[in-house]
Amino acid sequence: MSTPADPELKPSRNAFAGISYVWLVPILALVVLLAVAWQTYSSRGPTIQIEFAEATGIIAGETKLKYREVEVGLVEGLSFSPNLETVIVNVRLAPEVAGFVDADSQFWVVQPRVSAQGVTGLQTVLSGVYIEGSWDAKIGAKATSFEGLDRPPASQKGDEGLRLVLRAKDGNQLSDGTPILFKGIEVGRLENPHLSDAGDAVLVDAFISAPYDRLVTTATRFWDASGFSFSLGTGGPRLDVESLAALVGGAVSFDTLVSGGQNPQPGSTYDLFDSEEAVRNSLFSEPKGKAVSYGITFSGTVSGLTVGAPVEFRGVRVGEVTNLSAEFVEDGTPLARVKLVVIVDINPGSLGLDPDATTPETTSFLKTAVEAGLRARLTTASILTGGLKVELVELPDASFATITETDAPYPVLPSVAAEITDASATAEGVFSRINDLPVEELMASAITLFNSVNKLANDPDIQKTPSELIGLLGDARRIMSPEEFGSVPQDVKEILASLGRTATTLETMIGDLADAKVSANLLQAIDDASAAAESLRDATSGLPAIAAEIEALAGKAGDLPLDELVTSTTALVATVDRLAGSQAMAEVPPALTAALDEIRTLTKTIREGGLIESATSTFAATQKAAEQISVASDSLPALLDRLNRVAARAEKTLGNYDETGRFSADARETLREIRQAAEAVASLARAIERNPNSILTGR
Amino acid sequence: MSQQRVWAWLAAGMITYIPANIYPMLITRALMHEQENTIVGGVIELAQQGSYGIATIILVASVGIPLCKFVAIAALAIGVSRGGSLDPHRRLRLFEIVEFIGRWSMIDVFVVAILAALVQLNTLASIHPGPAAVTFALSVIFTMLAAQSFDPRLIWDKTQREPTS
Repeated sequence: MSTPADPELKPSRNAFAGISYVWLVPILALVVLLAVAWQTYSSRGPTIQIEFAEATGIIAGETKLKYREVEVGLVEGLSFSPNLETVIVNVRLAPEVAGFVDADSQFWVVQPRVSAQGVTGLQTVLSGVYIEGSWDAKIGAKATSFEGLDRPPASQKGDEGLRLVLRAKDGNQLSDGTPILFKGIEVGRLENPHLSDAGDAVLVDAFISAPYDRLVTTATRFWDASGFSFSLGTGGPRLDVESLAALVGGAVSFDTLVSGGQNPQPGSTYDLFDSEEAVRNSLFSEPKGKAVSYGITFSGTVSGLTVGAPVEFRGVRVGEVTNLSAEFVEDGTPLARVKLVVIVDINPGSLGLDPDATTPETTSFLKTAVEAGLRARLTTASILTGGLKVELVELPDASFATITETDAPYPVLPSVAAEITDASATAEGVFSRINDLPVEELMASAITLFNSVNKLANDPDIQKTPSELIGLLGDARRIMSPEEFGSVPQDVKEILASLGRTATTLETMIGDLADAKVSANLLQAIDDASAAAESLRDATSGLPAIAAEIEALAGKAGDLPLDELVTSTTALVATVDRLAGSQAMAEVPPALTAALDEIRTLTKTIREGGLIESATSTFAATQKAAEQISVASDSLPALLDRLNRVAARAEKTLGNYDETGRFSADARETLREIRQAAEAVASLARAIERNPNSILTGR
Repeated sequence: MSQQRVWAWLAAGMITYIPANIYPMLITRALMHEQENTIVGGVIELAQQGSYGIATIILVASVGIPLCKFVAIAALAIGVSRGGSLDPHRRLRLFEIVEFIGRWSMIDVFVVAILAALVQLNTLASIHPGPAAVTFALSVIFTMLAAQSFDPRLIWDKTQREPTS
């Protein structure tokens, strides 16, 4: 076996001759690979870092960044901030939007969200959350790290419209997404309510989308349209509800009520009013222009005056109180005097001056007014709360004063005494006057009066008087009975002598009666009563004026010894009643009549019996007795007069007690009876006076 | 010449193997959810899900075998041109193994092709082959060509020359 000959190997003539064409394949592959790699690398956008409080649902490599629902980036990784407080999401941006993502871009996580305005982000339930970005079409300062928002902003950066800031007293109804309504149509939204730097107000961004933004001018007013408003005015009750959604979720409305506003600067601040009514009120009372400060010194108390209280001129608000302070003033007295200084801001525009008038201009205007009588005065703003306001009043009669401009820091306006209608002080005065009335003394003296009247009426002497009179008359009748008289004409002389004796006895008795203790007692009592009535009248002279006020004192009157008074009055009335109604008293007139009848019969008999001559002496004695009766009866009219007077006074006095019911009725009844008794006595007296002989003559 | 062809195909196979591992092999889209898997990523995911067997098969077929082929072919080519310590019989055996096993490397590509064909449920779920599927297939093809263009006879050249020299 011979081995095959070695193939002849020829050295290559060309340097590339030995290189296979197959080498083109790896070279081509390499070129393509490099090209692809370069293209991939160059088409990658930059990465940005977004900080979120938490990364709910964000997955590295899956969660996308979207702009207007188009994918423009991908989350590449999640990490923590150095202090572990936030999550930093690394997002690879698509190169076509990378340029627009500048410093004021906003990012937030879109996830299902349920609010009063509706449900959003429902599509993310299946697809998982994504990050939404918002930026405008302008390329601004480059930024690579951002702070993510907690919730979607009301408006996206690229939206056209007007951005404003609303300033509210509180943020109760202000939340992200609260709609802004214009005539009930939603034209914008609120976002990002936050406290002002000083913490005294709530600021909230408002976005009004185009084309409605042209409805807003510098004269536009915003108000809180949430909830409902209830008012009771001259037109009856009124209930306003903007819409059900506004009732639940709140809303802000605006309107331009006055013309002449200019286009507002974006970002300018507007006050948020409580209600539409407040807006309308503000048109007349809102401060215009720059305020000028003045000091006012008040000598009295300023309790009830607060910072923010209105300063009014002819009922129009021209400014407000901005500060209250106390100042020590050395005025020569050993004790320093405290002076209350109220600083007020007055808007020159409200006084009809140029709204931007300077302090000297305003002061010179006010100076003229002050010299004509303009004064500052405290008045009650509300009777219920006792709140005060400062009023600029025109008092042409006021003593001359002017504005003190030397007192730092503000010119000082002169003031006059406060005109405060203090309801409580007035009521207090009424009560103190009632308290000062001598009600107790009055009652005590009335009780004393009735007690003495009672005692008098109960006096056995007085009670005995009628029965004694009856006994006397009975005796007279018995003596003059016609039977006895007639059967003994022969003993006429004796009888006449006896008659003479009787007459003498009668005379003595009547004399007794004339100066008896009875009438003296009665007079005394009447004097007492009269004096009591006098004092009663004096004491009660002030009563009619405050009769109405006494009514309010019913509770207090309950404590008075009225019961005692009524009891004693009732006792008195009963006694008088008993006295007047007693059989003895009732029998007096018939007995008297009977006695007179018998006397008449007797005299007739005597006249018929021709005994006149012998009777003459008896008659003379009788005449004398009659004369004495006449004398005795002379004092009766005086007695009656007094009795009448007392009765009249007592009646008048008691007339004032019209409303006191039973007491008054009883007393009046008593008085009537007293008067009747007096009248009976008077008629008796008149009869006697008219014809003193009638007793004897029977005519 | 034959040696140059071996090296050229081998280089092309290695170059295309790089993007095959970087780019996703499989793009799975299931109900708004999209997932892209590279070869190694898929193996790791399978292993995490507990399918160790399948993970091992894919790892061996898609990573182990291609790498072994690169090393084996390179070793054979170097051995032919410079000689080596290995016995020519063993080298021949190695060459036969490489050539036999080369076609099995395509198992990954087949799996992707079958899945992509089967799972096309429109919106619910769909599977697409990624760019890596193409480059991986190219890489396998290039490696097979490299193995084919290797002339086993050259293994013996050195042994014949050795006694003479």
